[in-house]
Amino acid sequence: MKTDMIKPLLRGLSTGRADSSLDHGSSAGRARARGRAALVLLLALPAGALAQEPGDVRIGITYTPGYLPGLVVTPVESTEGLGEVARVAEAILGQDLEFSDRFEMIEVPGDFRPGSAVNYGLWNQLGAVWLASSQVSGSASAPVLRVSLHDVVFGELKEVKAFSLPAAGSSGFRMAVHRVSDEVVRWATAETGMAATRIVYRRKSDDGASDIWIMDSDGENARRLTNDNSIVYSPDLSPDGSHLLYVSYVNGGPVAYEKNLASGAVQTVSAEEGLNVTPVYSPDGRHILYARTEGDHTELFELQRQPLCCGRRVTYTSVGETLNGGYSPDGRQLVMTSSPLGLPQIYVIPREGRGEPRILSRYVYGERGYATSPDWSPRGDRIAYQAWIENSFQIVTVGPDGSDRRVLTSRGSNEDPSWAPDGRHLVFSSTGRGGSGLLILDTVTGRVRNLTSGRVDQLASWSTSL
Amino acid sequence: MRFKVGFASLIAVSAIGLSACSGKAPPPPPPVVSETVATPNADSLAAAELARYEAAAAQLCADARTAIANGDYDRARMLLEQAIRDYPGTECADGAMVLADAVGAIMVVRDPIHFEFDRARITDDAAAILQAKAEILRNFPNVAITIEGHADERGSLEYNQALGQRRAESAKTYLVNLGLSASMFRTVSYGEERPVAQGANESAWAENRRDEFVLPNADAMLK
Repeated sequence: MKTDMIKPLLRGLSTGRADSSLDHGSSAGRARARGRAALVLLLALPAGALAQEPGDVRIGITYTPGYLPGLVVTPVESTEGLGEVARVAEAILGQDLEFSDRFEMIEVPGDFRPGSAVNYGLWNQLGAVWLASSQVSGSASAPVLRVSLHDVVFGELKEVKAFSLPAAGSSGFRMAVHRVSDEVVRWATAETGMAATRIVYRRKSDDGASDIWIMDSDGENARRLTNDNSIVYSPDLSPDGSHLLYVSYVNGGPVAYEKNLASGAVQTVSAEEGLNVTPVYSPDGRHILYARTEGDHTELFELQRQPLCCGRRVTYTSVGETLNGGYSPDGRQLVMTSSPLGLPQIYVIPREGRGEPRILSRYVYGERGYATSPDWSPRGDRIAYQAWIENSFQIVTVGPDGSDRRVLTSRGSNEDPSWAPDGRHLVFSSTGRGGSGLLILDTVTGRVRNLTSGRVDQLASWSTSL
Repeated sequence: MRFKVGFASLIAVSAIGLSACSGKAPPPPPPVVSETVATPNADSLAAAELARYEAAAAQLCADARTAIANGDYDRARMLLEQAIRDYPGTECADGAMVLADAVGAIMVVRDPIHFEFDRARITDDAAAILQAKAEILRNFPNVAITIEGHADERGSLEYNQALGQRRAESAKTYLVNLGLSASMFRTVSYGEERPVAQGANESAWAENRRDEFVLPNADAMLK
């Protein structure tokens, strides 16, 4: 383990990049062509010197140019008759590893020929720190993908594993390859990737009606989950991915429902008079937190699941609205939008008992204090939300103790952030600047990619690793 | 200027009923020309003219009924006023007075109220409108009203749902405090989902920050 910690220091000499600034036009393909960058001046600076100024960054958001190790994914080899399976798997693997935003993708030279032994010296010269090679064997109905991760710098095989995949072209094939990608990320970084995930969101059609949709984190397999053609919003997937919580007006007013995605069965979660909104699952999947009308305003309530029962009032705001409840990863604290002071702000409270709420968003001169839609990172260290900044919404993150507030976006209007299970990628809806749709932002590198575009897609919620 | 209701007359006459115009279709015109008469005489010409006059008036009342059924109260009131003005003495015109008052009352009850940005407080303008509604609704304790709260497009989608709900609750509370029964009212929030004005400017936003008052069974106020 100790050598692993030293290696990045050595690798720090190899590449560097200074990507910056949220821009709708940035896209997937560009990283591929990046070759080896020159030596970076960063090494001369103390570690914290380029860290973002907390709190007040609003114009031209820049991200610290960080070190990303070079990764090359060599063409997937195959046994007889499995060429197509290999081609599909290679495309998924390569894109997943690029979308992980943890590597500088090194292009494979055109004259590359797969050989028996990895030429570490050559790849090292090309800037690769890691090399992933793989072979498909077995049959089209039961392919086996064998992946090896080589440490190019040290010239050794780091990990190798054979993964049994479902039949090529079957519904589970892509997700199975995504899991392989996440495993490769884990081998290289000791942290799990986020390829094997899905995102639920609300899509509004031209006539103003809406429904809940789902897609894989790479944008594939988009499909509709509800068919209400009504006002539908607030989707949340259960931790095991089997159930969906949402709000629909299909029966006249905002009622919270849960849908079993396998059977299609829908049950009512809460249909009290007034609002029944923003339902979410607890991290262990055993509770549902949601907001409903209490008297003349909105408060948070918690229900037990399976069977649904035992509603418990969680907040006692009395004045103002409280909604958008969410859990900390350990389930002990809640984050929420509440407006006891007039305009909505982000608060954290203990899940049990009536502890003093702690305000996380803060008043900044020249900003109207309007902050909503918090989401607690699955890693626990950050809370993302949207704040009204200079006449539009922008994505902000803050520590759970209210420290180290960072504004991550600066262009267009950006709303409803949701964390990937890796705790570094955010999905959110973005409008303005000639486009709209869902964007994915890597909060570490600042890389952005379009997930959907040209559609009114909102309220995205990222699943756990599936 | 808002339409003023002939409120007293509405109460006074509502018990009498609206027999003149309450039929679903206008009565068929009587036959005016005998087949056996070669040249029309003066009496039959006058009778035909009268029948045409009554039929035209009856058509106006029928159209007004249709407009009411479609919820187009502006058009209904215009048609009824036309009947009163242009066809005095007809059955339709006689009943139209009462019906126009009832339609006017419905319009007052349906009149939307508006709110300040991110607020659910009842403004002075809104208070006057709510008081006018309460005056009418006291006489219709069995009428059901849905108060729909709406928000402008600014703000988060989900928070705007809560804001819309609070706006609906504000109006309901105000009306109940004026002595109306809470059981008359149902509240629902549409947040920013159903704007009446398009556009990202203050006048559109101001129009969209509103409560609408929906009468699922407006007929109850026509009887």
